[in-house]
Amino acid sequence: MLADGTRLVRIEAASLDGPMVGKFVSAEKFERSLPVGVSLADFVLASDLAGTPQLGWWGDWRRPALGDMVLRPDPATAVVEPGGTVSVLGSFTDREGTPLPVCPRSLLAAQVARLAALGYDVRCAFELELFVVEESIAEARACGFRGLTPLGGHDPKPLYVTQRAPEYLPLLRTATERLEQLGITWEAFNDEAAPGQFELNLAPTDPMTAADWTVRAKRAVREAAYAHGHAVTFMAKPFAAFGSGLHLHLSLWRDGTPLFDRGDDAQGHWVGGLLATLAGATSILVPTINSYRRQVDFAAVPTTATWGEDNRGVAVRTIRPAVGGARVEHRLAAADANPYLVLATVLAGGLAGLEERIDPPDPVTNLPWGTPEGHPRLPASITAAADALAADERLAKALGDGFVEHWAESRRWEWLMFHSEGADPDARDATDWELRRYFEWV
Amino acid sequence: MVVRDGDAPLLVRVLAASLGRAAAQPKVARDLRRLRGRVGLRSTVGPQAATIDFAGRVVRVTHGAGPDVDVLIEGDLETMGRPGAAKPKVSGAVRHPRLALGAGRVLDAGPPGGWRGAVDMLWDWAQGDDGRPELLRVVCQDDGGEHAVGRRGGTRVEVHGPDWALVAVFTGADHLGAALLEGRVQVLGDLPELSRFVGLLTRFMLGEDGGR
Repeated sequence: MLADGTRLVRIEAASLDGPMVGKFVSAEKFERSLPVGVSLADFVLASDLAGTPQLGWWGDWRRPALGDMVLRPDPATAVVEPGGTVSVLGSFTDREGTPLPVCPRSLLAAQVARLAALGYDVRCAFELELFVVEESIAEARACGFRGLTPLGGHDPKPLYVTQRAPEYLPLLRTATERLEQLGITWEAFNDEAAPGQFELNLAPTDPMTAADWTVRAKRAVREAAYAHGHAVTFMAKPFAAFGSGLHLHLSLWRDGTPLFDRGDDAQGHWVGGLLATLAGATSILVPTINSYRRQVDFAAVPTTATWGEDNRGVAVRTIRPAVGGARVEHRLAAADANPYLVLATVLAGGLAGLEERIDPPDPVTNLPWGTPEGHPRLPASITAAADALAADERLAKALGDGFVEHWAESRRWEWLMFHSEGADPDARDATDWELRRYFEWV
Repeated sequence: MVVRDGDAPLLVRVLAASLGRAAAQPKVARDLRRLRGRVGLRSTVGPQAATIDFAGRVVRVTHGAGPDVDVLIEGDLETMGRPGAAKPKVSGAVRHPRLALGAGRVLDAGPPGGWRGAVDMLWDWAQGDDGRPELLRVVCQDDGGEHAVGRRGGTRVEVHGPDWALVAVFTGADHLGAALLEGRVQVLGDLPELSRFVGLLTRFMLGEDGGR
């Protein structure tokens, strides 16, 4: 599959917590490994972001003595980067080529296949929010990611400002060039609510491409920032002011027709399914200790299991433009969530709604906070969310018991590490433990 | 009865679970019923702190240790009880001697029968938990004493260590994973069995229901 002259192949995949893992291999080694793929130690999927092996449970997909799994390349994802390196994304399988039940890309592929079997397909796009800081990544590491200055300083500022463009446009130009080199179609880049915070909008596409683009876009932005002497983070809340999300826009199609445009029952059932699985989905969409610092009322972040038309306070916002383009914006995912898992979970929820014809509750027409009647709250901590996921039979059926158990236990492990490694449970903002653990890796 | 908040931090969960198990001993239960007052525990090496409110039939463990506690115990809560560990600093003991002494007694209340008793207590608690191996063999490295529970012929985990480390692990005062990685105990067993057993001991430490 490689062109003549290729010397280096970068094969990688998103691990459960998000970091891209894989190998750089010679062209000869890569060709020899096909179609199976290259071997990696399976504890890549059973160790935390500090590299500590997670103990306390066991999935049958694991080999008993830190054995191998395989990173199987998807040739459709191959891109030739400047300099000639071929970059390929892949999925985690066992040595016989069977997808592992905890492989994020395979979990998404399974939900896409379920949709296709019912005659549906989906177009979707992620919005990535991120923070750029004045310091370089080396400077940021040297101070444990503490005391950094967001690009433009700490002072509050208006939203969507363009007049600071001279400070950030060179970086954005580099980032968009990198996106294009990686074959990613992007639509917009804008300044966001907090100092140093930006949003990148990717173009609508099929679910697998949307997730592939997202993990590669994070890489592109990171590399662009590094090239300009800045560090970047996709942490949900590295600073006190505002958090970063990973909003997902999605429309459902059948036979080339967008169903949400024509007010089909499918939209109601889709939303009904999303709401019915939202508490369990929280664990996957709001994955880290730091993610929960973003979950505060009156900050345009969903904290309730609600939906509404063009309502940025709810978890599921329906959007019906004047002409075409009707879609659902799922607003719960934090910026540190794994995009494959986000999409797999959202599709699983929507599919449950279609299959069971779940009707949504009444829409919320006002902000869902501070009202006398109140609204159902989403889990507010990593352990409460893990318990909600473990109790969600629909998500367990769709995503598999093996994944759900592994994920829920890994979140309880995250809680245990936070508390047992000296982090302050009373801290109002990101602790040193969170900054060291997440700043560079999510 | 020992109670705590549902989503409490680690120290609160560990203390509540430990006191709850100790309360199963009639002598400790008697002490708990008689004690009145608020005892704070505060780590001198980290931010962990908790308050135990002894109020007769109900003992409440809460997060944080404010200035309103009657007795305050400060020290390295992780190493407390290990050989050579510094003694904790106790404030308020002169004004509240019975509370300070009584709280010390119930907090130090080891299981009857030492490490063997701790193993038996854990084994009983773990009935139905999928982390329980079919055979658990424990070896005390101080005197070579052995204790095995369960039946031979199936999954098996062995834990070896000095008396104090075994007591800590099997009473939930120490985490088996940390004790293993930091060399306080050694284990024998397949990695899958060992990992599940760590999970069982974690649930025991946190006071969760057995039987997962």
